[in-house]
Amino acid sequence: MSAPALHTAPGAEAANLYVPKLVRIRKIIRETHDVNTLQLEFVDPAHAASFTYKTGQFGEFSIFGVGEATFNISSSPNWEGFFECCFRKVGVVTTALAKMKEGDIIGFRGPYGNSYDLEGMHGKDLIFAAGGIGFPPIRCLVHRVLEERDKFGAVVIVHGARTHRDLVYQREMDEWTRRRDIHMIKTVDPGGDPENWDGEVGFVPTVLEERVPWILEREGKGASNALAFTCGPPVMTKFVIAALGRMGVGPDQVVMTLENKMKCAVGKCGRCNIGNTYVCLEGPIFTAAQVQAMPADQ
Amino acid sequence: MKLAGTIRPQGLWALVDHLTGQGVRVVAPTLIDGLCQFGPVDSADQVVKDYLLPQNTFKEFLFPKEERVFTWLKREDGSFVVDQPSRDFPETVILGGRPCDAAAIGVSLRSVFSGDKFEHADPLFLERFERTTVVSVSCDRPDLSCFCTTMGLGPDDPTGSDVLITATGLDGELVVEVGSPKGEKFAQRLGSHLVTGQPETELRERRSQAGAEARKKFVRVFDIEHVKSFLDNPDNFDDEMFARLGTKCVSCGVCTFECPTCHCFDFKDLGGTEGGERVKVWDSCQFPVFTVHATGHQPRPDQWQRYRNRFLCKFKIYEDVFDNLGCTGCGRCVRDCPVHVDITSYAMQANKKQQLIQVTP
Repeated sequence: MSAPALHTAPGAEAANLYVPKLVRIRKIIRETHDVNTLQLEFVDPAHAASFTYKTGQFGEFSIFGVGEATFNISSSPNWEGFFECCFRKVGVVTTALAKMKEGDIIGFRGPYGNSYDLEGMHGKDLIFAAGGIGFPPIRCLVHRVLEERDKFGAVVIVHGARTHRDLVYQREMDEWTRRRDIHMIKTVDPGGDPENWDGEVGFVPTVLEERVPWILEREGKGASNALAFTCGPPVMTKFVIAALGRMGVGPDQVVMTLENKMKCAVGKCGRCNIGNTYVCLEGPIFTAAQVQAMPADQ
Repeated sequence: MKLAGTIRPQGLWALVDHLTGQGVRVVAPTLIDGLCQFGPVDSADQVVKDYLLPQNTFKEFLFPKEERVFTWLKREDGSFVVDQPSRDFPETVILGGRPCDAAAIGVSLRSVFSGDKFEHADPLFLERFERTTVVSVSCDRPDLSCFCTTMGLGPDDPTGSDVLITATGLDGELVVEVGSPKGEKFAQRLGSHLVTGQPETELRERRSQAGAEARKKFVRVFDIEHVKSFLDNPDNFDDEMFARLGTKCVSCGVCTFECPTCHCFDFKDLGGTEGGERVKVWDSCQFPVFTVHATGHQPRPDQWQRYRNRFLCKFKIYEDVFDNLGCTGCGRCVRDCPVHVDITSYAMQANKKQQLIQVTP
């Protein structure tokens, strides 16, 4: 463990919105061969004390000397003492981040963006459909829902990945599979299933359409009472929305969290806009109806 | 704007020397590498007096091309010291800015970096802005690329200027108008060079006449009344004009770097993990890497789509998001494009198409 890191006077720091706060990597959880979860805690107790965030918000995570990357805060805001992010090793920053060790210090700015409307979800039947590294931005909401499970209707989770080795949060999925008040459906793309695979084989939209309607029919209050949450590769979410539409769950009942490239996260660097929508300011959470009304610049 | 009085050019030049002597940074049109550009000057003789529009804008003195945001130093025990550079920005007078740049930088660009509409304010820009006085000089003529009058401004428009100086053509007379406390302070500094007490009605008449004469000389004048409604209709996002007009764009980004309202930037880390600095550097929506996701997904794969974004930013997005004009008609992107991509032809065609839609039953 490192000694406490120093930082500049709080007043000066607060004034410059681009300066990250120091956070220590408290724990690294290896989710898959290329996906890691980081549990983070603020170095300065004053920062920890004043830090709050809402479910679905995101942050800018820095490795000094390498750069910044944007990730959803994948933990529940009710967890105390730390928060989490989850990333796949794909770019320069995430590759460097994957080499970090517990106790190392990185930078954090945030939280930014809007959040899920939890109260609006009360009494609804909830469908979560995510693919690959698209699951973490949904996972924070799943945990948040499970903390107040009785306030919601049926809960169905469809979580897919290319292969079983790419499924993140395996330990949590095992736990959710054992629960009687959650339908946990895991699936892998054809060819990604090992021997003795106990999940589904097929793409997320296909599995969703095959498995979910009868669950909703049996335990839910019909398609009009459903809300769906989806995140994943653009091609997956497109077909998820179409599949949901055929099930009677319209685009205004589908909530997406967008993953546009960002730098500043505060509406100034000009990078994340889709038409006149700055994803960092108005999003990242939109209904599919809102996203469909945006230009095709996505 | 409030009429402050008149001065002669030599009074203005004397003030330049006076200000620099007092440690005020004076930025004015000057020759840099043989080109007339805004740059810091030490004395009045470095100022280019007969110019139309410097090649760069003066935005780089408020939103620098490269600016240190913070530094870090890793200690032996693994802890970090993060430090912010002092924000003791110099008092600056921008002398000889043009009305198009003043409106673009003093109002539009400021609206992006301010926290007026959104909660996040960029103190690096705003603190520089607080210490900067924009002293604009009305244009007496446009060139073929200027189109500020079309954008609702003009060669003598006061928007965004703390001081506006207009030559009346009467024996070197310069009319001085002030529009802010910073402008008042500048007028006071003119001291005895500022002549006051002339009959105000006649002076205002001469000054308006000069502006009107300059307006008459504009040739790039067109109607933009319907452009916004054309762009507001999502069906027009894939209109044929965007690929047709934008395919030749070579993605050099000149239009964005020379634009007074372009605000895009990136962060770069200089140095290494052990110690270094993060800098905020200009970036451009014309580069493919600008929007590409880490996964390789590219929202704007074709160059014409990137120029379409630029056109939308100027004629729709700026207005929708920041409540301000995205283009003030300085004409730089038209003038200096190596392949003649012309934002005014986009505007003209969008306007025409919308007019046709409206009259077609």
